[in-house]
Order: sequence, then C-alpha cells, then structure tokens
Amino acid sequence: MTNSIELTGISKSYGSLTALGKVDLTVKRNEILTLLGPSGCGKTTLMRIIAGFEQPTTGKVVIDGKDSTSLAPEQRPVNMVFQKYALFPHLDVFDNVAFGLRLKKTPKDVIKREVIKALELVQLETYKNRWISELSGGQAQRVALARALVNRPAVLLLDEPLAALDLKIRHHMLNEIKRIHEETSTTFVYVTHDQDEAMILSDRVVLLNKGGIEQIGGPEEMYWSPRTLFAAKFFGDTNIVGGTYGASTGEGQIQLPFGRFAHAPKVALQAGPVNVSIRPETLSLAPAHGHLAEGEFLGKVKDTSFIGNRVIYRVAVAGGTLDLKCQQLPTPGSHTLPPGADVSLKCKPESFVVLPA
Amino acid sequence: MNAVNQSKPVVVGAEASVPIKTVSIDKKALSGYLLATPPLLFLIIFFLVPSILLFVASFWTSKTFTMIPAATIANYARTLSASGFYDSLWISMQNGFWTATLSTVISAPVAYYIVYKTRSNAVLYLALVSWFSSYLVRVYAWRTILGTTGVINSTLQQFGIIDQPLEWLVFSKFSVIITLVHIMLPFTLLLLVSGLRDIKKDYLEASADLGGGGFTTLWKVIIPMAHKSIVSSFMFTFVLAASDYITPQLLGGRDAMTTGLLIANQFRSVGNWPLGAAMAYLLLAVFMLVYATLLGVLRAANLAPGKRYHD
Amino acid sequence: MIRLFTYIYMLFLYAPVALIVLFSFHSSPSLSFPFEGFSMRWYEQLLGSYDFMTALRNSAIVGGASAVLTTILGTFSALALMRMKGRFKSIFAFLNFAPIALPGLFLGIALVILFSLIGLPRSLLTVIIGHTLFTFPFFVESVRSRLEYFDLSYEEAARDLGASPLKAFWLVTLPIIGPTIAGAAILAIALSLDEFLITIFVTGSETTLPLLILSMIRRAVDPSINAASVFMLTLTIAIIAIAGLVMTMRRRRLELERAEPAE
Repeated sequence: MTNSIELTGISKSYGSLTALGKVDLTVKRNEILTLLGPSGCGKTTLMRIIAGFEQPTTGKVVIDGKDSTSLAPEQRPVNMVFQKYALFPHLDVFDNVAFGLRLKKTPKDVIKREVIKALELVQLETYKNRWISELSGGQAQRVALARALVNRPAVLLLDEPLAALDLKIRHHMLNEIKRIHEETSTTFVYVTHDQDEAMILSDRVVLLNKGGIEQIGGPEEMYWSPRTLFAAKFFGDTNIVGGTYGASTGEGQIQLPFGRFAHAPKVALQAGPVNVSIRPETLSLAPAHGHLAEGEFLGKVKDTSFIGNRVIYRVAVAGGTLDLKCQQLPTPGSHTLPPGADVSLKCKPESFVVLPA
Repeated sequence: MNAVNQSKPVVVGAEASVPIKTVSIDKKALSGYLLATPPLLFLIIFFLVPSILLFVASFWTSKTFTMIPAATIANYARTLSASGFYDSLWISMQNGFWTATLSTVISAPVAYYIVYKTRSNAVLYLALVSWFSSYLVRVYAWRTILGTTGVINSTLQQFGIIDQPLEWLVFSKFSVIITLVHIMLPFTLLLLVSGLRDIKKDYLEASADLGGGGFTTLWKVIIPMAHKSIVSSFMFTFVLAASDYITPQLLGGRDAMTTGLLIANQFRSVGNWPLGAAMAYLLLAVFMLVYATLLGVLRAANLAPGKRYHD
Repeated sequence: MIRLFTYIYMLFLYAPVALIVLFSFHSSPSLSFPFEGFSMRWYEQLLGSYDFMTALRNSAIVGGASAVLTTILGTFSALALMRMKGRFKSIFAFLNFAPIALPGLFLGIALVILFSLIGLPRSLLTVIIGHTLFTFPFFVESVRSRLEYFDLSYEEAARDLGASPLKAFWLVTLPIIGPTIAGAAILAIALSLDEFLITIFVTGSETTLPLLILSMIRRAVDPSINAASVFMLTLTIAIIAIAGLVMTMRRRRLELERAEPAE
C-alpha cells in the first residue's frame, strides 16, 4: 500500500455554509504534501477532518488503509502540530513529549528512551526539564514536533506551524522540518497560506480555493503551468494580459495588445478570447534602439524599484493602454533605467500560460 | 480515476447518512449544551421560576401569612394609592442617587490612578479586600463613630468642645449616605477599573498627540469609551443602595422607612406576601426607569459613543 | 495630587474598620478616646458564647456546602461557555450573570415564595440554596475572564495524542484550570460568609454569623460585637488572601507563557 491518506467525496457544511465541496485527495506515503490557499479556502477544515476534530458531512476518510471516517481523534494514527503549539503549560518538556506514550501504557524505560530520542531529533535534549513558559517560540515549535513524532504517526499534520514565528526563524525552521522529514521518513501534511513555504517544502502542493481543489502538482509545475487564473495569480508575481487565440489570427497564433505571437498550446485550446499569464522574469528589456527585431515591442518605463538582487520595472506598452511588470537581474555597474525611458521589450512566447477567458 | 470508481458505493452510503451526521456535526457546541444543562436547571428552578412566581403572587391575595391565588391588581392599586409608598420611594431614590453619584465620582480618579498611573496592583487588591470585609462590620463601625455615645461625640465631649452630642451625626441622611458610600466604594471602584482596563493607554496618547489636553481627553475619549462601565457601576451601586434597608434601619432614624424595608416587612412581620411582591416589582420598574433616564441623559450630553460630529 | 487622593480614599476605606479592630481590644466597654488599655476580655466572652459558636458552625456548614455546589455548577457553566457560540451563548451568559443584577432582597423574597409553594421547610438547606444562587454568578464571572486564557486546542492536542474526552479533561483541562477554580471556590466561601440579605428570608430558626451580629447590633451596644466583627473580618480576609494568592500565582505563569519571547 502506497497511500497514507485517501479522501473520497469529502464535503463539509455548517448549516447553509459550505466549507468544503466534494474533495478527493490522496496523500502518498512519505511525501510532504502542502494544503495551500487563502484564509477561508477550507484547508484547515480539511486537515481537521483528517485529524478527526471535524466530521465530514459526506465522504470517506481512509488513513493507512483503514476506514477512519467515524474514528475519534484519539483512535487515529495521525498526530498534529498545532498552530500555537498547544503545549501543556502544566507539564515540562519531557512530560509533554511523553504524554502520548504514557496514554498507550508504554513501559517507563521505553518512554524515557523514546522521549530522549525525539528530543535529540529536534535538538532539544538539554531542555527536557524546562517548563513550557521558559521556551522561545522556535523551541516550543520543536517540542511540539517532538511531542507528535514520538508517537510514530502514520501521518504528521502541521497546521500553519510557522505562522507565529518571525521571518528569520521561519526560514531556519523550514529547513529543520525538511531535515526531520528526511530522518523520520513519515508522511507530512502541511497547512499554510504562504506560497513560499509551500514551494520550499513540498513534494506536492494542493492549492485550495473556496472549498475546492484548484490544482495539485509539484512546486515547479504549479509555478510554470498553472491551470487556472487563480493558480496563476497565487504563485509569485505575474502579468495577466487579455488576448485572442486562433481563428482569425490563425492556428497557433495569439493576438495580444502589443503584438502577435506564435504559441503552441500544451493543452487543447478553443479558439477565442484568452487570458495570458506572463511572468515578469520572462520579459527582457533594453533601451530602445532604432529597429525592432522579431518578437520585440516598444514601451515606456513608468516606475522602477531596485530591490538589490532584482530590478522591477513597470512599463507602459501598447500605446499606454497596458502596464507590464518586468523583472531584470542587475549586474554590478549596470544602470537602472529611469522612469520615462523608452525601452524595447522581448518576451518568450513559449513560457506563456494561456487560459481560456 | 479507478480509486474513485471503486469507492463510489461508499460515497453514496455516506450521503445517505447525512441526517445522522448532521447531529454530530458540531461536537464542540453539543458538548457545550450538555455541560450547560446542570447550571441551567439550577438557574431555572431557583432563579427564573421564583422570579416568575413572585410576579404571579403579586396578583394574589393574602390572609395572615397565607397566600390565596387570585387575579387581582388590588396589591398594585393599594401600593400606588398609599402615600407611605411614595415617601419610602423618595427616601430610597435619594439614598441610591447620592450613594451612586458620590461613589462613582470619588472612585473615578482612583480608578484612573490604578489603571494609568501605577504599575502595582496593591491599591486594587486593598480595595478588593475591603469589598469583602463584611457589610455589617462597616455599618457597625459607622455607628460606633457617629453614635450619640460614639467616638466623635464622646471624644468631643470629653475635651469639652461640645456639651450635647451632635444629633445630626447619626440617625440622619448624612449618616446613612456616608455609610452606604463607604460600603459601595470598593464595588464601584472595581467596576470602573475593569472598564478603564479596556481603554489602552495608546488612546490617551493618541488624543494627546492630536492636541487634546487632559480635560478634552477625559470628555472626548475616556468617558465616551468607558461610558458602559460608568453606567453599569453607577446603576449597580444605585440599585444596591436604593434597595438597602439595613443601613437606614441602623443609622437612619426617621429616614429608615425605605421601600426595601417596606417590602421586607411584608414578608417578615406583616405577613402580606402578595403585597410585598407587588411592591418589589414596582421597585424594579422604577429601577428600569432610572436606567433608561440615565442612558437618555448621557446620550443627550453627547457622552455616549455613536454621535457623529460631521454632517 | 491624584496619588494623594488615592491615599485618602484608602484611608477612608480602612479607618472605620481599623477603629473596630482597635476597640475590640479595649479593656473598657466605652467606645471613646482616650484609650484605656488592652485586653482580650471581649474575645473570651465571645468564644464562650453558645450562640456565637452555633452561628459560626452554621456559617461554616453553609459556606462549605454552597461553595462546593457553586464550584460544581460554576465549573460546568464555565466549560460550557468556552464551547458555546452565538445567541445561545449570550443568553446563557446573561442568565448566569443575572442574579447579581438583582438586589438580595428580591432574590430572598422570590425564593421564600418558591420554598413555601413547594413545601420545602426553611432550614440550613434553603440557606445553602440561597447562598449558591448568590455566589454562583460571582464564581462564573471570576472564572470566565481567566479561562479566556484557556485555549481549547489544549484539549484537542490531548485527544490527538490518544486521550479520550474524559482523560483529556482529567489530564489537561483540570490541571490547567484547577487553580483558577480553586481560587474562585474560596471566594465563594468568603461571599457566603458575609451574606445575610437573602439569608434573613430563607433561614428557619438557624442563625449564621452575620445574622448573629445583626441581632447583636439591634439589641444593644455590646462591646463583644467589636470582637465578633473582627473575628469575621479576619476570617474573610484570610480566606480571600488565600484565594488571591492561588489565582495570581496561576496567572503569572500563564502570562509568562503568553509572552512568547524571541529565540
């Protein structure tokens, strides 16, 4: 059996409010799967259904090959890292980590060994006698991981675990989570609203929107081949440009306000109006020179932001009817073009993501 | 695709059982209702039912400590046509008004001091302790101080400053109100403090930053924001002081006959419970009226939030 | 200025009470200065009095029993309020609080009518019911504001780690909220000890400490009232000092935990 979790036809409604539509999802063994989406998209509800804190209105939850739909949280082989850790304030670090093992009536010496091992895994073995109130945010995070992992769950659920940490620790903790995942070879299901976290961490990303799955895929696939406008806009920065595909313009041709481009669609595409997602980094820009080469078009810089490792230009094109964001990599000694400069732009039609409008 | 097809019958099964699942949908709320049941039963049996019974009984008649079910408004008519009731009400309202006003006004600066000027909780804890120190002990203390043979009179006489005890010290409005204020102060203070605690110092600093002086900040920021807790501490104090009858009895002399005492007497010595019940509900109605008036006054004085200062 | 005012305020609160404490040790029955000397005679007289010891015993029974009842009912209420939502929550919360908003007189006469209609003779039992009604709202209010610190995800974490609902309550919820509950329970005893506005109506022939003091004040100027007052005062203050200690210690720890210092 290769799947840790199989969800079929999961829906959840509160009275007339629908939190989740019919969701089918399979989590493969040992992968890190991210449930990503804006607040209210249903990602937390989905995770709580897996954990057993919410009953789905319809559908079936299979965990580790066993139908768990009606099992209570304590009967499921999953453990959770809570958003605010929920470490028990009346217990010290050791007793927090030992909590699950004690409930299973594990022998004392085994508990001791396993707890120390779990604390070593998260590099907090010297903190075992600390009270929870004496831990920093990052340390509390590690204890929460140890407390869940010591039970050797089939699936570890992480509910926005980094949301309460500040930026610097967050990046460090992401690498830690990756390391711990490799060392424990457990399935991780990770809930977040931050696409960077999802990209860095995931084997596969599940993008949710309004209670339904928008797209599932690896980070690169999600970035370069979004299948919906929502997915295109959710990951990173992009230009969405309206245009026309095929028919009058000819097969394999896209008419955009600033020119006509050849494009071989990756999926079957009907002729008609389309939205095209153009990533800023796929546009290149140079000071305007006399003639335009094939695929080049003119623009005027409206404003410029120098961010160190990149420069972002907002360029008016198509006679000022449209602004395009354009990202360049500066090199030492290169000069950022000032607002008002006339530029020629070049795009890579093969990187266009064309979506029916 | 295959997996979905295989499990299709199960999905249908799950759909069929929707009504059953809806019941357990919000386990958390359900356990909340279950947990609420014992206290709810207690409150219904010993609070709601008695309050309703008291109301029902106010329409009954009575014969020496026995209530006879009836449906008459005689008790209300009798109460409202007796001048004694109005006299008692007047005394009660005066007690309530002066006690609540003085307690609130005197406690407000202290509440301000506790919330904004000091970091220690010592003053608050001391006030809390004195709130719990017995009502009767404090009444007795004031009788000891103000009585005709009390500390002030006998000490003044001993030093030959006065010949006769100062009669107005005790058995007067003055003695009743000073005692009631003393009893209510800590309670008023605690309510005010908990109200001010909600107004973070940032608001005061923002007001100062925008050019508001201390007085402007008080009237334009603190009072409108704290108006709920000011009203509630005033009203609580008012109700407790106005319905009190022990202090007036022990320190009030001619002003002892408050509505509270009138009601208590119906239940203890006179034995006409329905009449007492009618009086109690009339007193409650008067309290409601006072509350409504107070809110109206605050609104008229622009001290409640919700007023727009622009067109 | 405002600090000075506060000191005067506190002086006003405490001076009359201090005077009673002072006169309770006065060797002469006179309640005036100059002070003639210290003695314990009023306390001896008090402790030798059968009435006083009976009233003390009754107060202890009523205080203990109503505190236990209040704690059980109030804990149910607080746990329910943590879980409830929406309109039912506000109605229930209002109902919990409502008895405080009414004067004791009102509660007393309403209960007396109930007891007489259902034929429950007035006794210490009816006093215990009356006191529970009086202390219950205070208990819920004082526990509720502190239980807002309690995060229901503690219970979920316990369930997630394998605890049944009952085990989760026993191993996690109770230890965390326990000190708060204990503090509020002790406050309930203190409140019951002082209560007499309801007691006057719902008691049979039994007297409690405040009722005894009230009748002493009514009867005559007896200097042992001073001693009785101080006795009661000391008892109350000792009780709430313990309650305060229990509650603040708990809160300190929770506040520390909330602070979440950076790494």
